[in-house]
Amino acid sequence: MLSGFFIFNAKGEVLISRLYRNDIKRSISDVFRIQVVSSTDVRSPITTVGSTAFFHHKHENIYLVAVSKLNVNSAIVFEFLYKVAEIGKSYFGKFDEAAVKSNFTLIYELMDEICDFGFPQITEPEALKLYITTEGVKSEKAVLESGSKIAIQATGAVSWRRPDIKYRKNEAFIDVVESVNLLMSSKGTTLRADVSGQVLMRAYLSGMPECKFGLNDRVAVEGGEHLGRIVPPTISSNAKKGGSSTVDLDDAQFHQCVKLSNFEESRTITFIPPDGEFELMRYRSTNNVYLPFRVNAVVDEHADAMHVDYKISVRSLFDSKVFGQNVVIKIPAPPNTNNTKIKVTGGKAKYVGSENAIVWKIARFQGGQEYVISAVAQMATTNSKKAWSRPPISMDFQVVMFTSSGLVVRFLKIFEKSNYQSVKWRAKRIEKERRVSTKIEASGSQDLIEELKATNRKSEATVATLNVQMHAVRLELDGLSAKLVYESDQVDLLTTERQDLPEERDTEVKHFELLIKEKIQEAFEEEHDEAAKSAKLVSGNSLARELASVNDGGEAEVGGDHSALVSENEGSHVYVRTNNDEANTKTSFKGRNSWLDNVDLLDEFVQASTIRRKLLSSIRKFSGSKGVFNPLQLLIYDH
Amino acid sequence: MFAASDKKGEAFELRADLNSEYKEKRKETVKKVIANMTIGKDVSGLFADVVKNMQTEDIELKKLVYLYLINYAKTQPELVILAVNTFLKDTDDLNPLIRALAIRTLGCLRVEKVVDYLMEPLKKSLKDDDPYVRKTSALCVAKIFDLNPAICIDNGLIAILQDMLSDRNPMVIANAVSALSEIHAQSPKDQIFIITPTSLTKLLAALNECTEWGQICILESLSGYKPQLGSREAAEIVERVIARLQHANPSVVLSAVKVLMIYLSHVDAELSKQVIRKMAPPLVTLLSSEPEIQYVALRNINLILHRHPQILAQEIRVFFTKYNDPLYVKLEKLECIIKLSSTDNIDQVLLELREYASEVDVEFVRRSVRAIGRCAVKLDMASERCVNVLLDLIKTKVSYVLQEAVVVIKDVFRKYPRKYEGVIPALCENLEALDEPDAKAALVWIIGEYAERIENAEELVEYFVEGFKDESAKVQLQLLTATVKLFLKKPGSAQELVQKILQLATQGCENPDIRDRAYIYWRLLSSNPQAAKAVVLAEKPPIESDNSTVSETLLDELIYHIGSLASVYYKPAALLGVRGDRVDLRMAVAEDDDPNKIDVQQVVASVGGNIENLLDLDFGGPVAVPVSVGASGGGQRASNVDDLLGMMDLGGASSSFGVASSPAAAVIETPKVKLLQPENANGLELSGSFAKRNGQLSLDLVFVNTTSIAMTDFAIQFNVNSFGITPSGPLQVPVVNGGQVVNHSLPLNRTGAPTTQQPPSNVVQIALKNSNGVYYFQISVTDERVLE
Repeated sequence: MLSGFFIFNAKGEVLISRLYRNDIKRSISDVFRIQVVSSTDVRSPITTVGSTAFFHHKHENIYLVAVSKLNVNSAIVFEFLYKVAEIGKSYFGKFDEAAVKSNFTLIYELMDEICDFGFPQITEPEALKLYITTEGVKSEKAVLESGSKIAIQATGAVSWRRPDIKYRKNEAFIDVVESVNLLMSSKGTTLRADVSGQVLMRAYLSGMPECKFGLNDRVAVEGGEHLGRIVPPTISSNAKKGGSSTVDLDDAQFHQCVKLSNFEESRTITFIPPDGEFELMRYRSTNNVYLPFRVNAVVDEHADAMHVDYKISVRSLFDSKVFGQNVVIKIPAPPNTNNTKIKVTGGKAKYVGSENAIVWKIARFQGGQEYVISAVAQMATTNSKKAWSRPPISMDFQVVMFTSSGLVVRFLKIFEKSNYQSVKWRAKRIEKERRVSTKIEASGSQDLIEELKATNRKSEATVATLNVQMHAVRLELDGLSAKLVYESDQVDLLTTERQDLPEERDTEVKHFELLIKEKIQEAFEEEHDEAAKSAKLVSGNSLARELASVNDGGEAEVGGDHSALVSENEGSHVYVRTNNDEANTKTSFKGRNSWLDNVDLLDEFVQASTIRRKLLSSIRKFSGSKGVFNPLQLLIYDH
Repeated sequence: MFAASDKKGEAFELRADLNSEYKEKRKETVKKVIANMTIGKDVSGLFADVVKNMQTEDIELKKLVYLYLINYAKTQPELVILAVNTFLKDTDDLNPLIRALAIRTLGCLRVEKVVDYLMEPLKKSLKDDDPYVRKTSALCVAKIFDLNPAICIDNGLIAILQDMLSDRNPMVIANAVSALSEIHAQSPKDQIFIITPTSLTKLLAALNECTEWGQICILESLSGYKPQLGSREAAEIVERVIARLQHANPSVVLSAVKVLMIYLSHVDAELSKQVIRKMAPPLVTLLSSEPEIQYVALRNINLILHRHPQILAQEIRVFFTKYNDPLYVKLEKLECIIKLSSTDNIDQVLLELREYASEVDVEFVRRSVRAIGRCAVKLDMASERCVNVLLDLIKTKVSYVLQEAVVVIKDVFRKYPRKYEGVIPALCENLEALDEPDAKAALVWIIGEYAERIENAEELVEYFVEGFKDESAKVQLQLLTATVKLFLKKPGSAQELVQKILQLATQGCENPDIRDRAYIYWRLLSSNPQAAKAVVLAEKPPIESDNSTVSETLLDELIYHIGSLASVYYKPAALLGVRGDRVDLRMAVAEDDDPNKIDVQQVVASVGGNIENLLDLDFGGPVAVPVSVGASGGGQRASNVDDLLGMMDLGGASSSFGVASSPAAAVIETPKVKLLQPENANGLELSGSFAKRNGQLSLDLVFVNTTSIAMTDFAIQFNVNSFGITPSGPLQVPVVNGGQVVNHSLPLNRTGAPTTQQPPSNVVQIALKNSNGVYYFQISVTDERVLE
């Protein structure tokens, strides 16, 4: 195990030294300085001098160094060093020399806590932050009281999560980030392509939620049977059917919160997430990698070694309905470049000296398009004879709703003891879910509440008496009960209620009704679950009415996820999917069962786009300022 | 951190500020003291003033003072006693964090006097209600044991620790496991941590619950367990462990791999196959982690491939290097590529290696070229393709590529004699371009070996002989041999040349090796040219591909150390570090069953006996095939030398020095020989001999401690030997104080199983351990009467 831990700066000065065992002295740091920091030729991250092993990891401008005298598990040591860096980042934002110098007492505290006698202990930043804080120590009393609670949590089975987290809005976001490693021959055939992906989760959930997560991993979905048909992940094929296409993951690794034994037994991914952002899963895939772009590069180094000519074309291979964002292409140039001439057919490109590269940025890259850059880099004469190593071209981009591996998040279910329900949804790439934990506050009579409670067996209502007749009602609708309200036509329900009520309380009830309606509507806008989609909804209805009025003579139908089916007189249909951002709203048009791209229907398209514009404005009006729309904008109804 | 002004004034100022009446000021000053301590200034003089600040409600300040104490307690043991009271008070604090902090710090003080005070609070906190305190106390026991083992045993701390294995809290269990393993490693004979089937169940259950570090501790301990209930039990363990392969922490994955590798031999073939299959994807995934971990993983994957070459047979592409891999990762990937190359994928591999050979980094290019040669030697079917690629590379005329190519082609020639002679002209064309000794030596060897096929061999050799004096020893030796070969093959034309070079080598050369070799040739040639032919032109033993760089015994041992430093360096653990940590654990476990016994001594021997300086980190390379004097086997050569030079027989040191007395004599003693020199054994001088007194065989040992520090923890172990000699009991030498001389007679018996594999030898290999390290030596049985 570790004998000591040091932090050095780039000059080899000791910034932190903490000895865990008696078998080394502080002066051993000199050995490291001489052997590694001042040495120009370091051939291994492990340096052994005599019987002392030094493990180093360079982070920013500091060396994190662990020292051991034993036949220590090297993998642990490095993992520990990475963890130190992670904790440092979590505490100080950037973990560099300046941060170490200005926080050295805190770092000593941390080093005392995360490692004892050379054995790594509690290294979860979340747990550590409970009792080691940047603002010095909390008031003594608070520490005393929370001490035992902290201690129990820090050592417990769920050390990465505090039990008392509360959020007003419970949200969880899942991002799938993939990096594609591609090697192409000069003729343009793919030699090898593999995908390594991360599933990142941002969880802002109250309590101790247990999550269950599903992918279209072949083994998990089909129990090992391979259907053999893999559909490219275009938006229409995957979105609705979800599991119809599956991917073959070569391997998957999970965050420590995932119960590995469950995965081993049944391929289900269950976990209690840490709070905030974390990497839930890492995976690799080498089968059926869908390449989003094709880059053809011709790079000529002139014989005089004075210029390099570039002619590079980039073509997007994905569906034209999708587009790439923030495309950044880095084209390496020789280190002694002093002048460049660049021409592009799209986006902006310039030479960035600090990166030794021409950086080409294209903000929006529609599917099926091609851009070309031609450039000449002129070099200054240098004395160094070292050949240019010609690094590969790299490309950074985001394509929403597209994964190279074809990976699709099928569901994320969340179970929590008290207040929220699992909501089924299905989406891809960047998904978002919101659970219903709606509080309805209303005033009304006791009887009415009782009635309501009877109808919605699972809701909770708390009633406070304001005066003899008026009651303040606090109706806690959990997800299920909220759904119940939606499913039975809500207006009718309230009308029924009203019939049984004495007339003199009519105004009261009306008020109540309005309030509930409003609240439910509000709740609905915050909630976009499938259950709601299937129902005829208040908000949906009102939206539909709005739409219908815009679309004279036609009919409008709105699904719970704000996809709208608008049928017109001529029998053509327009499908609308909304998003919080108008620009991202997608419209597809269908006339007589054929899609819009049909040229014959161009006229109709013009008409439809007018409708679309109108629809958009009405949708915007409807959603108003508070409406945060679901970003599942690209799911197109597939009737 | 803060300006260092006048030193005297500064210490004075600090002292004054430490006694300031303002709390904040005192705290700031303690911080300054710690800052001073960090940059290496000695601030131990402020001890009393700093300790005064210990009694505080401010946890941050308290921690700072504790940190100071940990650093300087040893320098002021008397003053530490002053602080003990505060500590003891803290161990009763209401806040578990404070209780744990006090226990943790007390353990780190390492002052003998404090230990006595610590016993009661430690016992109490080992049974604290709070798991945080318990897990801290568990490690504290290990700390105290390191300082004073006796007091831990006397106070029953070990027993409490053993009970903690069934704690409710997984983190406590994990720390108890760590502490017990640590203690066990220090004194394996006490059998402190032996996993039983019952404790096994608990550990397996805890495995699911603990933090990542805890999981590793438990996995490590599982690797020392031998399934006692047959393959069912092993299968159960394997099933539990296999789930760990999906963990995001690569060190957990590696530890799991290690346990699985060890248990593979205990489960049935079907399951074993399944496990191997499941291990492959996680191993590949390790390659997408950070470069340092990748390096460790690659070194270990290489080991695993030694044992199960098929495991990643389909995955060779993942080892192809990436542009931004650090050099050390690239070189290791290269090793794996060679290991995985097969006739099925050789085209792909060659394409890739050819690409590497045109990269910029010289070292990497050289290794890539060498890799092509190694593939040629490894794969008979593909050798031609490899040679063609090498020829291509030679044509590039890039100096270092060319030279490396020449060196590997020599190996190819040795593997496939007379198969690729067509290459020779291309090589000879580049004669002038060679400037490195290795490349020159290789080419000279080729010229000598193929002298009869090369028309202008005389010219070429002459070219080199011209500059004989300026060449390095390596080239000179080769040149000598090549010239003699040339002479033997073409006696007519090369006579002058051979005379010239022998003259040069014997008279103008200062290197004894070269001179001696020249003399031998000279004598051989002048006394019996036929014999010379038989020796110099003898058929050479075929070289093998370098798959055996790690011997089977070493591999066995290294598998037990997957993930550890030993597995990164491919060296037995005993050669690393001061204490052979896990080895001892293993030895204790293995003692009762001989077949699987892994003997350190044996392993050490298999490394080749030359304990290399570990500073030399460049050991990944192939073991260069030694181009010998030209004689075939070493043995033959040796005997030739003996005959020729008429030297005295070195082989058996069988002359008996024994006192002539009848077998019935009560005492037979042989003269003592020096076994360990102080400079090689950290100051321990050891001499000894076998003796027989009253029918009792014993080993008389004289320990001389030439240092001023006491040596403790002596233990001895005998390697399996031809006589079956083993010690009757453990070595009873408790302490050898500084400067002391201790005589000890170790009773022996001959009940051990004598080896049958090795040729019988009168040498007994012995390993001796003490507090400073492990040493190996051997002693001959010079008087066989002691054995009667």
